Amino acid sequence: MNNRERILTAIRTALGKSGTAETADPAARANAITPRAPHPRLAFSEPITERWQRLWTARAGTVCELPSRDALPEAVAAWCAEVGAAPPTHASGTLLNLSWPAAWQLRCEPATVTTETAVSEAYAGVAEVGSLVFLSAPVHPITHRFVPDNHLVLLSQSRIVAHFEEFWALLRDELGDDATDWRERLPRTINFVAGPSRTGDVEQTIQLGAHGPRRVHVFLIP
Amino acid sequence: MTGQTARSCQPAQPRSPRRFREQAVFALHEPHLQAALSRAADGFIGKRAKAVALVPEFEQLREAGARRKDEILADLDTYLTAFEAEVTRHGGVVHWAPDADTARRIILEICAAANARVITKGKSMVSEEIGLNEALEAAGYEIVETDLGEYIIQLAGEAPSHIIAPAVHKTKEQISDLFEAAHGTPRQTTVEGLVTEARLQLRQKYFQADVGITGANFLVAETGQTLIVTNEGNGDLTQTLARIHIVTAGIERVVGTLEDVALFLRLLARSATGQDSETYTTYSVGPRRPGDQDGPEAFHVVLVDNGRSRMLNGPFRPMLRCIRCGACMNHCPVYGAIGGHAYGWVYPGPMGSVLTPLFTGLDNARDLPNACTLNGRCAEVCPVKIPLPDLLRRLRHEQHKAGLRPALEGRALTLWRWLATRPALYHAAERIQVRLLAAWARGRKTLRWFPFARGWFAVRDLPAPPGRTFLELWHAKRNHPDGVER
Ligand code: SF4
Repeated sequence: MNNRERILTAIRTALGKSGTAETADPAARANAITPRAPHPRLAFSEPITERWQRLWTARAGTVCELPSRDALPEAVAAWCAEVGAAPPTHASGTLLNLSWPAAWQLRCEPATVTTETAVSEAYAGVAEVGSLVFLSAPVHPITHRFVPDNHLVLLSQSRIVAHFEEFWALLRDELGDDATDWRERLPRTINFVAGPSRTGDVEQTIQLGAHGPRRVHVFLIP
Repeated sequence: MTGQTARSCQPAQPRSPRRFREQAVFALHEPHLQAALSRAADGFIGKRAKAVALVPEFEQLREAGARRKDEILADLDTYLTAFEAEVTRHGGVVHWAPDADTARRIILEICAAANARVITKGKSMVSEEIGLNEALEAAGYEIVETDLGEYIIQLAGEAPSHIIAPAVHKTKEQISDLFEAAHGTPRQTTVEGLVTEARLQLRQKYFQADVGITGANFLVAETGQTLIVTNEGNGDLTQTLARIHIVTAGIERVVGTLEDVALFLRLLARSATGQDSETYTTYSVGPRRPGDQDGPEAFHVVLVDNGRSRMLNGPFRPMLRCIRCGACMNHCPVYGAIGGHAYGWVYPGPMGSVLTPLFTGLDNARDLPNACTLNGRCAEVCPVKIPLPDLLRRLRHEQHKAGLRPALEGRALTLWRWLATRPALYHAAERIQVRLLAAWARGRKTLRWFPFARGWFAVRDLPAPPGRTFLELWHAKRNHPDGVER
């Protein structure tokens, strides 16, 4: 018996099941991965964008509103000047198509130890906890979210959902179609980010910028 | 190095669940530890209470969490094979480890095949459980713990004392000492200075790492994803920047769907750190895809049994619902008095007092199930409603059945039962006892020692009794309700 069989047999014996995992009822497996009666959620009456903003800023994230995505390059320049941050060197996805100052030489490459500022677009926001969601893809490197000191993020209000459940419904809907199981197209990595990196490991005192970005600023468009 | 060195807060011998009493007494007399513990308990309890108060649905969530975990455990093999199929679909490899030896061997083989040199690690209790660091170090690898708390205790050469806050027992001064000695940099005395220094030291390591090892808060059967939840972002840097990502997880970490994850995340962050959510929640499956510019080239999941399947059969199954939030230890008066190291193994507090005897043997942890006042606070706060005091009582019973309790204890209990079933005699004995104690106290409010009870009094005081039993006082009060007769 190999290790896999040893564990599965031990489990089945403990549970009083007969046969092997391979001969087990395929319907049981399907059942295991089927969402059942919805779990309890947090009820809130606050409009979702307001809740998202309130929780986001409560976790030391910062935010400002912009009329449109075209206004982003100018707003990013102003933000960097204001806080004294280096202008971004890394960007991803369709943000690269905006008209950025040529001097910044924005590129879509993995962030390195010297990367100070990156700018990205969030796939969605979740109002329940005030977080941003990012998916990984060739044009969306994961390192942009964790390595730089400053992470600047474009988020569209129309992409903020109330609960985690609505987020997964949105993703299943946007990735799958009649012919393809959405899981075939599941991104390798999905990151939920609720504010800057923090730690309480020294005497339970909250300190920002433990390993990830010290500042995460959101530009909110309609 | 200035001040108290970090290592002084360990007894001379290596810790073990067998030496709980010794270790507990040691902990009670360690001033740094006592200062750190009282600060931590206040913080954790207050923050959790505040976060939970904001969610009227919290009780419903606990109910649903316990129910869903039970459903999954009752069909665990199915969930695990579904998870495995999805990991495989996305190019990852699932390994099965029946015990700690096999788990270590699997991981050592992966590291050897990758010609690894530097290994970064995110926080993982399972890797502590299987003794992974020692094995990797013995094989000559450079191991870097990246969670700040884990990094601190790695420098101190210690084990975690709390499952959420591993260095909760360390004061800022002790951390300053450790960093100064390890980094050879100017002494940092502020929290900000210390955190920044660790940040700079660890940044280099993430990029140098060949293998990144993390734990998993959950495994999703529906998608094959493994989840890590962190506040620092260290787990993400570990798993994204290393060439190879190895996930270690107990077989009970699997859940069914993404909706299940939502349920457990609602419970976890509030119970663990009193937040609505932790900063980073990351779902990953498989190695980097064609065209991806970052992420690991290989993705391994090591599923560890190590005694869990045995627990499925019998009264201890509910313990496998545990989502490792740490709330039970934060609310435990015994943990609050002695800290995590006294428990002698990986898992401290009430959950550890149940898990340690079950994982390492009843005989190996005789005192743990008894280090409990049965006050019930742990069960009240447990997000998945594990009846911890019941399980501890059950373990005491099993110890008794196995003849593992001291004979004196059995004889004392027999005597007590004989007395308790004879009320007249019992009350007479009680009257003698309180009068004796009151006389011994000679008007003082607290007793600091008593003949033949030095051990008991070494770490406690006893309020001096008023010289009359509760029943006597109660009768007196009933006869004189205005309280004149005192
Ligand atoms: S036993 Fe309950 S309270 Fe304790 S760590 Fe596990 S889930 Fe949390």
